[in-house]
Amino acid sequence: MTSLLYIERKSTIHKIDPRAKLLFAPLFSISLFFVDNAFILALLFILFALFSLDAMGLKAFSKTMLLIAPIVLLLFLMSPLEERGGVPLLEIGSLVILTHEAIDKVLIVSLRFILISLAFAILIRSVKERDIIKSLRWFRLPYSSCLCLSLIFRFIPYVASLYESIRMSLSMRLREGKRGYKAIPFLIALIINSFKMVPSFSSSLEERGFGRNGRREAKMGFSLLSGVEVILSVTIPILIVIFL
Amino acid sequence: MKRTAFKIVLIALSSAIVAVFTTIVRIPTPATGGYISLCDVAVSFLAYSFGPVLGFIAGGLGTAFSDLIGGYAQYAPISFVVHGVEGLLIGLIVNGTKTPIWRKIAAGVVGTLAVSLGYFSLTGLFLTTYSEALVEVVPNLIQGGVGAVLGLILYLGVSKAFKGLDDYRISFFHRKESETEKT
Repeated sequence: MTSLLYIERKSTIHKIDPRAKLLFAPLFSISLFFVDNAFILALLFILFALFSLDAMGLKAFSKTMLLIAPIVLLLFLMSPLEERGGVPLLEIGSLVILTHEAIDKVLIVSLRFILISLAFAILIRSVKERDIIKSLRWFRLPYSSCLCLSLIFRFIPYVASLYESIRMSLSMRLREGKRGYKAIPFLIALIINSFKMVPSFSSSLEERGFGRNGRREAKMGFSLLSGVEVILSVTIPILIVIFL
Repeated sequence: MKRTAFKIVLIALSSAIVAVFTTIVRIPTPATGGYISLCDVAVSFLAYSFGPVLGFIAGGLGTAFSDLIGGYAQYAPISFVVHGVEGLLIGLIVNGTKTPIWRKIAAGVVGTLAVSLGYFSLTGLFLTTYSEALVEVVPNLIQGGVGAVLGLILYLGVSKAFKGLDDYRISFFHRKESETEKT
């Protein structure tokens, strides 16, 4: 499941330091809330669309856009009803249906939503899972927290494969021609089988020294020069806020 | 002895269970562009079984991970807070193995309301608008309600079928329950 996230490409975005991208995505998202100009947001959207196409390819980019399309469509349908003040563009009798300000607001909200989605999509499509963990360690996240996140990445495919095998075994027990099985016994079996591996896995961690005095450190493998990219990832969102 | 490794493995596995429950079983809701999932089943089950701490961490991390995997990364921080608080509230209200059933049901109701209100306020404030977020209130109430009921049924079923659940609970909190029972 998780291996489907990262896309192997030789794009410019892929070459940027993972720490810079990890810092940039949330900071950029926050900085967008300070921009109230639809035109500038549209320009940023074009820029990010180009970056996304370079980093993910057309297929993944279309998939991301299709996922958020219904939400954006709903925003266009619902939001104009909220904003009634301003220059009216469409009126039925005395009732104002659409105003200039409403269109402006819906464009800002929609473009902001799309840009946040693209910023995070670029991040998760261009950074490997192990690099995310290494970057978090570099940002001084405690070792036990990083280990926990790393284990989640490993356990998700394990629980998913367990789900498939239990589902298949229950399907095979059904009489020929019958479909469906009881959901509760299936979910109980899935949970119990998943939990049964906890003692053995935690014992193996303890045997390797985890939880004792010795701390295991992962090699960072980041070059010193890429620290510039980390600084740039902080300054670019701040500059956006100041100048836009 | 502090069983740090045990706690970390249990938290990670619980988060993975929440992520799988959220990712695999998905019923799309074309009206909102979102989806109905079984995440509340897993979150409420974990909160009933292990209390507020694991309910908060696993509920928050699991749903945030599934949002990242499923392409809804922009919702990940909101899901972390909303489902984390759901697990925390259910766990705080239940808090213990010998809780009466009415309290467990009340915990489920509070959890459902927390999810619905949380998504409405945070999505409306940060991502979309309140009118758009309002459309999702009813589907979220249904999902949360069904999730809380199924989570409680699962908790009763797993407690009955898997006796190790109590040992896990004791190991997680490293309580000396056997000693307190003797006194």
